[in-house]
Amino acid sequence: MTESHAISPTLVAELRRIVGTEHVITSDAELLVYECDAYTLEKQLPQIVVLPGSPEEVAAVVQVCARERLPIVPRGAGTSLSGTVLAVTGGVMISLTRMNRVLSLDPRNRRALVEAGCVNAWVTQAAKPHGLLYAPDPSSQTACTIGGNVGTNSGGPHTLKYGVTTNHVLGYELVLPSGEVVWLGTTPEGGEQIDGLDLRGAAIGTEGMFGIVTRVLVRLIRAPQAFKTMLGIFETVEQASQTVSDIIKAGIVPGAMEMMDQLITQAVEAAYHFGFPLDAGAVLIIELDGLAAGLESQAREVESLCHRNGARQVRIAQSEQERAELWKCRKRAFGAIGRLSPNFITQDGVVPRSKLPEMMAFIQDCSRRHQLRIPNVFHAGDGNLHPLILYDERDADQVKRALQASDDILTQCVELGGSVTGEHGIGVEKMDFMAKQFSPDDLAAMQQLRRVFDPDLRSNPHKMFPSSKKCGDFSPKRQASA
Amino acid sequence: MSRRQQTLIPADVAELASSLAQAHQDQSWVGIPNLKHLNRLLAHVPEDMTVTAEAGMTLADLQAHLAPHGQWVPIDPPRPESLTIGELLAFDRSGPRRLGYGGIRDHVIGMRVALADGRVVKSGGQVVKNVAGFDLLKLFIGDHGSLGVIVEVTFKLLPRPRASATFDRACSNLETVNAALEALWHSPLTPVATDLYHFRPDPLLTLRVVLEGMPEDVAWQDAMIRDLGFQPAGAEDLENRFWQRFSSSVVHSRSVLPSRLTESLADLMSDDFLARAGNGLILTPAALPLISRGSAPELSRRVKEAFDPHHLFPELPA
Repeated sequence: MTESHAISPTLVAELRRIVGTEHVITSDAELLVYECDAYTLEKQLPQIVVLPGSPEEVAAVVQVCARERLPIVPRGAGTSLSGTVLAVTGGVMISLTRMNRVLSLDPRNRRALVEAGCVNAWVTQAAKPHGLLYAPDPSSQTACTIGGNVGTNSGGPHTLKYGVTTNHVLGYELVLPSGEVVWLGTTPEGGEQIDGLDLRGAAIGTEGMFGIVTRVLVRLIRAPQAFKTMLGIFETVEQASQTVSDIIKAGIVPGAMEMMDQLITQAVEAAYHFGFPLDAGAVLIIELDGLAAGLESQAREVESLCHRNGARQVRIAQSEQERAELWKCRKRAFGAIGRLSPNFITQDGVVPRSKLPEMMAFIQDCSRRHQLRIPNVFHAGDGNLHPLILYDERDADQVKRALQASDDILTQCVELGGSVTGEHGIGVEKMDFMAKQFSPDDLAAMQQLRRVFDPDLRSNPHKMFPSSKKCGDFSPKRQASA
Repeated sequence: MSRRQQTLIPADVAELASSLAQAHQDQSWVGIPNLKHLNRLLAHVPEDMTVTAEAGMTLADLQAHLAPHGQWVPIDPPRPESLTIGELLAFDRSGPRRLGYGGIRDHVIGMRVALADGRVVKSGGQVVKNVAGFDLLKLFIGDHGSLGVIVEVTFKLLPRPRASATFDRACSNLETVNAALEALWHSPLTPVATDLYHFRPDPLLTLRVVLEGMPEDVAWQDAMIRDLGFQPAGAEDLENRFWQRFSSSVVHSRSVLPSRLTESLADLMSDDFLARAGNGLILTPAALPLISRGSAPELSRRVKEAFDPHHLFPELPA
């Protein structure tokens, strides 16, 4: 791996010529904006930030960086919760935010071509008039970019039924760290079936390590004809979890199933005044979608399952507005935490759905042991939890206990056959956990693929993998042909 | 490089791994091992809707295990009784319901693969949502066995649809087909399959649509699709009829934009073909003009060199 080099005035001038003087940031005061992403525990200024306006400019910038052997750090909106966009050793941060257009939309073939910096929510906005939408909807969707979504294989609340980014990205243009430009997957005018290796799929979720995505061909789906959005109010998390299991067992696949425990619900209610009860152990948002004809009976079945598990009340959103309000509360839940605590660690573990009650009990125990409050909001349908470990950074001992609680929770997720991250990615935050979830051979195979795309390991370096000394090479003596 | 005379037929994963390690050292050809002994169901957790199976198990056997629980792997390729899980993935097989449920890539959440040097690595896991590490398993789906030997796969499942109905519309020419497809597309119908069959020398084409889901949904769509000129399908299994005539190896595929389907079929009217109309996929024994679809050939070649430098396994697809 290369460490960063000094960036000479000549180089700065060269970058200015490529993207325009006003799109090169060198002053510390302006670089401060880029010192971290939404994972604020670690900060590091990039040496320079460049904002290209086209794929050609991106390629030219990357070629210059390749020549100078500089690390490159791609950045979309910087909403990563795991430090994926941290400029660990400085280097050249390449921001895609100027490249934010929807370039074309093909309703008949249900696809759209967008620039990497296009905001996720704008895609659905553009598709809406045609009765279509872009399915992956992370809670940060009004800020995060499609390119960033490709980097982390983003999910959101609707993944239970609709999948994640890789299920909705047909193809994309990628600038390799060498500056070479390739198109992976389906092309804008091409058929969906690609013979040959699925490099498109293998490179999604590689957290910026395979190069810089510049344009993306996304799949659009028809907007569901109707929704039934329900709110189940339970005394305990166990009852709500059992309800989730029962719904799945009944052969019903809701569009989304989201759970919030009491602490989170109290914070959300104080912030948004939706009408959540303050004394319920858990609330469960269940959204059914599809043709209107079948929703009524499914809703009755779901309601009955809620009551069978002791639900105090089951409310059904009566209007599109009420539905939107409910989702706003859920999607802005993290934003309401400020009422509870000056700081919090967001975690993103996954366990098999059947292990949810066991995991929740573990988290509650963790909270007691470390004497920290841990509210929970989670994608109950797919076992993806977001425990929020509350602490005050002014108290060094609390910080220590919070990090320990975080560790304990993630370790337990792996123990229960799950994963340390369902959607936020490894970034820098969870590098040490990679060795808990994967064997040295598993990690070596990933690095093997990475080296094909980035032989010098300059693209978003020092992320995801524990110290490279632990990862053996596959055939170290073999020379890569030109 | 020496060429192995016999196909590897390992008794278990350990034997496969050591055979590969040996072959890697000797730089001797392996080809595609026969995994008939690696055919067990390893785990099925109905309430998680996940299942893990060895790659030598047939798809039919797997589906049969899942059926009593009202679950299935949502894929319906031809001849599931002779298609192994490993082949299903390596050759990216699919069937009519690809339109409604997606391809096999959309259903695999975990995999163990034996690499050319005998290491067995894992990608993904047992949970439906997982972004830890790379999505390495995607590399092996559709690789035609060129990068490694898939030994174990974990799928996410769906409940079997509660209701299903199939409808046909006989079309005398491609213009009629096109009009019917457009009408379907613009309607609120949500078919899980839309397939077009043509068996020479009959000039007629059959457009077959499958509706699945909750009984109320299927009933509602039943009324609507009749208005579009469709009738409940006859008993004939058209898929079977097509695949009885041809084995997979002589069938070529061409993938086009769905909006360009009928224009792409114009020069095939004297041939047998099957078109997955909703996906723009044409299957026919007729020789088609080659349309380059390979994704990043140079990069693919480098991946091949990285994972199989001694070329133990078959060549890259396409």
